Amino acid sequence: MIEPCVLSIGCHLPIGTTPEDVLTNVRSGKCPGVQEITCSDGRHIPVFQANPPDEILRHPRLRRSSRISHLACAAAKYAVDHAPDWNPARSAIVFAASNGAVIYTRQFFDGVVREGTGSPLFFPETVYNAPASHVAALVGIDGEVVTLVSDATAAIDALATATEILESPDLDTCLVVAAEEVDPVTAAAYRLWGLIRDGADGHSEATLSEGAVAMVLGRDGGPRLRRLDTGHSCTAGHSLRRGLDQVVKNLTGGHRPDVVVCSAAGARSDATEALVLDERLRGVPRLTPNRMVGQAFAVSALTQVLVAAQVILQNEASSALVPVVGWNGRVGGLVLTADGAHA
Amino acid sequence: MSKRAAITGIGCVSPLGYGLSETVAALRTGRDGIRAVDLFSTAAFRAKTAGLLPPGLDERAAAVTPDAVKWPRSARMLILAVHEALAARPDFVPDTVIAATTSGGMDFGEMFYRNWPATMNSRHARSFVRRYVPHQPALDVLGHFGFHPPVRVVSNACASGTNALGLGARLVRTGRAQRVLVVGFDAMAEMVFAGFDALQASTPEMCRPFDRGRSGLALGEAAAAFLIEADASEPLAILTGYGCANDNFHLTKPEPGGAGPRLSMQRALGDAGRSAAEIDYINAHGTGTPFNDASEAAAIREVCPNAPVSSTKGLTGHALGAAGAIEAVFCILAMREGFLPPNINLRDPEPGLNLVANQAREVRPQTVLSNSFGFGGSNATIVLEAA
Repeated sequence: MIEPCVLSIGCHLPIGTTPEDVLTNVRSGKCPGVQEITCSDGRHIPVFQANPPDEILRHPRLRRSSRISHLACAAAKYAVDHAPDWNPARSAIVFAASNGAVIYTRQFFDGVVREGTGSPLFFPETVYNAPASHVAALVGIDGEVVTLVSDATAAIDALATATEILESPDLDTCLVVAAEEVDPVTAAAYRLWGLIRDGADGHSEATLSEGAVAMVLGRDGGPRLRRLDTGHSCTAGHSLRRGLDQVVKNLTGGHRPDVVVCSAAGARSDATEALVLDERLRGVPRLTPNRMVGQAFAVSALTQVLVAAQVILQNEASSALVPVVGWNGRVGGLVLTADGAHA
Repeated sequence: MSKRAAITGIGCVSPLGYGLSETVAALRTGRDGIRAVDLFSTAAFRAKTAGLLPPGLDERAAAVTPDAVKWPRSARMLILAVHEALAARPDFVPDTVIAATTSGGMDFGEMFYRNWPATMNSRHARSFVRRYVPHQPALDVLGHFGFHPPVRVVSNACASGTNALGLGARLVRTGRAQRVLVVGFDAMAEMVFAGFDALQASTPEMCRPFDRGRSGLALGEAAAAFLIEADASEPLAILTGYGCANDNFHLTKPEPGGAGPRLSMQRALGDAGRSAAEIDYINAHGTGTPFNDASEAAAIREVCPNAPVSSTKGLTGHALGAAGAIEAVFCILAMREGFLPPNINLRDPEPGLNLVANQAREVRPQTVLSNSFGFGGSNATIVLEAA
């Protein structure tokens, strides 16, 4: 079974639009500027937002597409442009998201369902796989294109699926993309759920965020995805702590990674993650990029992988553990190593 | 691929009925499940009908677990399908789950968006929000059965169900998993009904797949479950081939020449190691829209010109993310029971296809192919073989 390598990375995040900038800002603890959006109950929710680049907004295929598609395409294009020997005829796409095109969904519902007017053109853009379709058209892939939806662990699912796809001798690379957009509906929903920061609520501190991360995986030439565990669904009596402990134990297998790139973004589950890491990997340095990136679900998880890859590429570590804790009880993770290094 | 992806258990609910027996009876007689929509008002829409489950969903789901009353419609449907599939293999514990859906618990999302904060308090809103997300129906159902495996949720529009089966079988065939549970589920929701109606993809009259006078699709709903095991004895069927393609033509319109479907079918045949001449039946995507059926017909004429073809969407409506899953159940039933499901409502058939017109054929197919295509240019095909 293959252990793919990260050949190139692209990103379009509030904290940076190159992998190098993201790591620099994570290291310096620099947060992006906070903006506010207003929910239907009148509350103002602080959020981090990313502005899609003009070249993507003006692209003929993308002029009317959603914000999430713009962000996904920006990150994907950067990753593909920086991938050595990129050949779309021998590549596939796996796209991961949690919320999808919420802005157009809300606009379609308000216009067509509630009011009986409005544009039907929003509807196809609301479908979860619309961003992947636009990415495929932009980079010219006519093969396997898969969209996966879940909490943050959708990113782990996507990397697992890409690994399986790369078992095919017909393919050399697989483009993995995660994207998310911010909208008042998701802000209201996650605030009610207690998962994101509310200006008036001191208990939860994760800031709702958006953006996209993309990476081209191939067989050789870059930080290697040495182990991957799609984990467990910690529901109905299966505790999050036990599930995450199993994942960390399975991924490390007695080896101590040089660094842990944590999932913690300010949610209640951060304490569980810290507890498991204290027990299993006390003393291993930890990075917590999602404190600066915000809660962007699958994007946050893929940002963890981005940071792990950058730390390895800059020779600051030869192995990194990335545990991912989703907001509805799913856990998973991976170990990335310098090519040739042991897990 | 070193292992055989053996399907050892199946279960389903659809407009044709609850469970496999009701489904076989309806398929054989060509009894459709299309009726007037009564889950929400259709006054503002052109289309008024859809494929809906027969009455009795809530009672049946509550009989499996009282928790089901708190779940979205799709989860109530899914638990019945999984319950039936597991009845065949009570000792089955999945290593992983691949789920297919396009709208998850959409009815709960609509409820939240319509009513909060005006007429819904925050506590109620929380419960609707938690269960709206697309993977939650699968998590709720799995939790009931005491399963805690990773759940991968495929949302490739209307190709999702076939993609999920292909991905699940791939896990088994490559030795990455021994036992995979694949499920597809999508329930009728007003937002989706409005979407297809607004695009004028829904028909205001009758869904007539592959009829030259076809005027659009009827929406549907369904849930289906499959137990897939490596090299199991006494399977119901074997999933031997999976192919997919993305046609990059338009977000909603298929490439008229059928390039995507053609590639998808050819890749599935290649993966199965089968020639077109070995295909005994094709369950077509066949939505009944002018564009889809023309594109698919062109591909079938080129790839499998002689194979008997039917679309079962005239019977069930289009179950979107669950379509590929429920239609794979139909294919397995066809192989086991010895008939080809009919393509109903045909008056003036699309030329050049060997359509199973209006009545089931009493033939026992050994190797079948099932197509599913979706928005975004997603095309997926599987090959199923008799055990």
